[in-house]
Amino acid sequence: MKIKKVIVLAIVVLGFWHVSASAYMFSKAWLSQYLISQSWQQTLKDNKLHKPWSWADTYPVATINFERIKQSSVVLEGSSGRNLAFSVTHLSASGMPDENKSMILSGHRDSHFAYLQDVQKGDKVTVQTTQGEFQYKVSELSVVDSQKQQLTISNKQELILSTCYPFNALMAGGSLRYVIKANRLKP
Amino acid sequence: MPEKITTTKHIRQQLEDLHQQKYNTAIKKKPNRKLYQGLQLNWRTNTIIMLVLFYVGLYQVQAQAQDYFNLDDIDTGMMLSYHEQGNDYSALTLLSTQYDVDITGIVAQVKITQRFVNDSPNWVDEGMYAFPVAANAAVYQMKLIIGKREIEGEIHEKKQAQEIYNQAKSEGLAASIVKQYRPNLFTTDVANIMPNETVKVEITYQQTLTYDAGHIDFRLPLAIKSRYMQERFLADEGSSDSQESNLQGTALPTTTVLVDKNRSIKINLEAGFELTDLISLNHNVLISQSNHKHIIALNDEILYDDKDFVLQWYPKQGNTPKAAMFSEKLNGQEYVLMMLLPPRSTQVNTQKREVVFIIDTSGSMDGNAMNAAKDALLFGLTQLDYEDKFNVIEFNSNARELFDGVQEVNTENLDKAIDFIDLLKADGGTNMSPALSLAMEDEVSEGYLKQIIFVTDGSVGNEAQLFSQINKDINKARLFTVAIGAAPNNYFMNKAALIGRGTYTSIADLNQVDKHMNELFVKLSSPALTDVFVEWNSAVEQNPRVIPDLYSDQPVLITAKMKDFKSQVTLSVFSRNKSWSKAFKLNKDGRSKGIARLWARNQIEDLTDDLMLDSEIDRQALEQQITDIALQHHLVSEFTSLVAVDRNPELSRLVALQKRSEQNHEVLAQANFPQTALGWKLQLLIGLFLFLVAFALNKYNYEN
Repeated sequence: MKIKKVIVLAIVVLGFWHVSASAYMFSKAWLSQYLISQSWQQTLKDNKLHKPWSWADTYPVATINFERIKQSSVVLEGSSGRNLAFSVTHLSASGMPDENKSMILSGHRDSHFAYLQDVQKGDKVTVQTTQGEFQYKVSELSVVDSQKQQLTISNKQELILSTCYPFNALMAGGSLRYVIKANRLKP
Repeated sequence: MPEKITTTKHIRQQLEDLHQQKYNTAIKKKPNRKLYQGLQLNWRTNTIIMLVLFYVGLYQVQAQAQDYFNLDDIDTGMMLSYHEQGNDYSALTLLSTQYDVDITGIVAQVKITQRFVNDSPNWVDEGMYAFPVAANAAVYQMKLIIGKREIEGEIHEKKQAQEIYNQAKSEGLAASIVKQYRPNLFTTDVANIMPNETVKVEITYQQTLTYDAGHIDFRLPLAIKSRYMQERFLADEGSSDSQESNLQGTALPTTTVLVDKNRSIKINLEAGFELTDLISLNHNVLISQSNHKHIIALNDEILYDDKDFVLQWYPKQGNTPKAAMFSEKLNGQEYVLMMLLPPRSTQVNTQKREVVFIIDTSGSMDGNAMNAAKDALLFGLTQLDYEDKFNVIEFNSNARELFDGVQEVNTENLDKAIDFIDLLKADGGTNMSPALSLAMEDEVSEGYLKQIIFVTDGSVGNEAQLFSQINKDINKARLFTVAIGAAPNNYFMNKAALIGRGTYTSIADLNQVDKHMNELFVKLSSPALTDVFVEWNSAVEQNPRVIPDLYSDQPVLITAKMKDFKSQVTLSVFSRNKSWSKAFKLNKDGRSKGIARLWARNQIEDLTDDLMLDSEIDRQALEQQITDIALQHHLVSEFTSLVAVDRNPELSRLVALQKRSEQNHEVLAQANFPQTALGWKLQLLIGLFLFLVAFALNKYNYEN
C-alpha cells in the first residue's frame, strides 16, 4: 500500500510539473504582450527604442496586421529563442520595409503565429514601423523542410513569414516550416 | 533441402504452439471473473506501461516530410529535382499524361506525353527525367521540351555518343547519355528549369505483350504508389497494405503528391484475330470498332487510381491453330510479323515418348542441390506411362547410363532406376559433353517422340562447344533444361533449351521441386505445335531462325525482312499428329506500325548470340552489322547508345546566364529557420493525463 501511495504522489508531482511548465510558457507568451505593446506605443510617440521591461535585451520594432482575419502582432527585434517566447520576431540579418531587402518574421505556431494557418493567398498585410505603414499582398504559401532549405534574404521588397508546421502537431522540434511570402504593394 | 523443410516445420510448430498458448490463456481468463485481483497485482506494471506507451505515442504523432525520392522509388515517368544537401530528389508537379498506343497483334507502340511544371519559386538547377520501362520493352524515342528549349534522344554509335557527350559537357551544356541506374530505369538530365516553367516530355517505346491462359494483356502503371506519401504520416494507420486506401485522407501540401488528374489513354488495337472478349479490368473505357481495328479510349473521372490500367483481350481459339500476318513497308523493304496461336488445349496428346533423364552429379551439386535434383528425377519417373521408354544418365567427370539404350517402363526397370538414383553422389568435375552424346546418339524408335530432361546447376565453361554439339546432334529429339538452385547459369540453360527446341525450367526454391516438375511434365505430355515452318518463296532474314515447339498456350511470333513479297507465303505446322497450313497474301491497305522495329530487335538479339557463341566468326563485320541495324531502327544495343542532344544550345546558354544573373543579383544572405514551436499543449496534455492516472490509482486504492 505504501509503495502505491508513493507512486501516486510521484505521478501527481510529475503531472504538476508538466502542467506548470505549460502554464508558464503560455502565460509568458500572453502576459508579456501587454508590456510589449505599451513600449511600442511609446516608441511611436517619441520615435525612440524602448525595452518592454528593464532586464529585456530586445525592443519592439514593428507591428504586423492582417486585415481580413483581424489579427495583429507586435514584432520584437532578433529571432532568438528567448525573444520568440515573448512575441513575433524580426530576423536581424533581414531588412526593414523601407530597405530594398527581404523582411523576415518568425513566430511560434502554437502561440503568436497560430493565425498564419488562416492566411490565404491574396490577403493584405500591413507592417507599421517608425518609418510609416507598408502594404503587402500574400503571394505564396508553402511548406519546406528546414533541413533541406534555408531562408533566403534577397534585395527585394518582400515580407517572409515563417513558423513551424504542421500547426496541430503536439511535439515541438520538427523540421517542417510553413512559409508565407508577400510582395510589397506600390505605395 | 531436408534442412529447410525441418526449419519451416520448426517455425510453424512454434507459431502453432504460441497460438495455442494464447488461446488457452484467453479461455482461462474469461470464466475467471476475478478481474480486480488480476488487475490489482499488475497495477504498477500497467501504469508504467501505459505511461511509456503514451510518451511513445506522442513521438509517433510528429509528422516528418518525406516527399523525397530514391531512384528505387520510381515506377512512373517523373521529373525530378536534385537536392545536393540530402543527396535525393523531389518530384515536379505533374500536369497531364497522355498515352497513345498502337497495338499490332502482340506488339505495342506506346507514346507517352507528360507535362510537368516547376511550381516552386526556385530554379531547378539539376533536374532529371526518369522513366521506368517494362521488361521486354525498348525506348527508342525521347524528347524534352523545356520552355523553348528542346532536348532530343538520338541513337549513336557508342564511341560517337561519348564524343557528343564530352563535347557538350566541355561547353557547359546539359547533354546526357541516357543512363540506366537499375535495369529498366531510363534517366536523362535536364538543367536549369525556371520557376513556373513547364516541361513537356515525349517518350516512345515498343513492348512485346504477354499471352497467358487465352488472353493478351496490355498494362499501363497508373496507380499512385504509397511511397509517394509520407510513410511516417501513415504509420499510425497500421500495416503497409492499408496505405494506398488512405491516400485521400492525409492533409499534406499538394505539391508533394503525384496525382495524375489529367490523363488520357487512346489505344488502337489491331488484334489480328476475331476476339471473343475485350475488357478493361479497372477503368471505364469507350470502345469503338472499325474494320479490323478497335479503338479504346479512357472514359473515367476517378482522380485517384489505386489500380493499373489493364486491357485484356481474348482471341477466339479453335480446334486448329490460328494465324495472323501483319506487315510494314519501310525504305523499300517489306517487314512481316506472323503470329500463330495454338489450338485450345483440351485434348491430351497420346504420342508415345522416349524420355532420357540426365542428372548432374558434379561436386558443385553437393548437398541440397543434389537432393533436389534427385527429387526432380524421382518425380519425373512417376510421370511416365507404361507405353513410354526411358533411361537415366549421370555425369560428373565421366558419364554413366543406367541402361544401355532406352528401356520399357515397367516395375522392374523403375525399381532399378530408383536404386540407381538413390545411390548417386555428387563428386568430381562437370563434363556434360559425353552425357549429351549418350542421350542423343541412339536412333529414335518409330512413332516415338524423344525428350531429354537435363537436370543441372549449369556451371560450365565450354558453352559454345556444347551449343554446337546440341545443334549438330539433336535431330528430332527435344532438350529440356532444368536448373537447380538460386543462381544457375541462366544464359546457358536458356540457350541450350532454345537450340534443343525444348524449354527451360528454373527451380530456385528447392522446396518447390514437385511444383515446377509437374508444370514441366504437363507441358511435355502435350506439345501443341511442332515443326513450325514458313515457306516465304523469297530471300528473307527470319527470326527466330529455328522456330521452337510450342508446349503451352503461347503464341509463336515470327518476324521477317524481305525485298519484295512474292504472291504468297505459306505457314505449315504439325499439330496433334496432323499437319496444318495456311497461305497469306499481302494486304496492301492494312499496314501496321512497328513491325520493322520488332524485326530489328529480334535480329540484333540473334546476331548478338552469334557473336557470343561462334568464336570463328568475323567479329568486326558482325558488330558493324548490329550497329547498322540499331542505327537504322533507332535502337539501343550493345554498340549504340541513346544520347540526349540539346537542339538549341545557344538558348540553353542564355537561360543558364539568366539564372546566374538573377540569382547573383537577388540572394544577399541565407539564414537558418528559427525553431518556432513552444509545445505547451503537449506539456499540458501530459500533465492532465498524469493527474488522471493518479486520480484513478488513488480511487482504486480507496475502494480496496
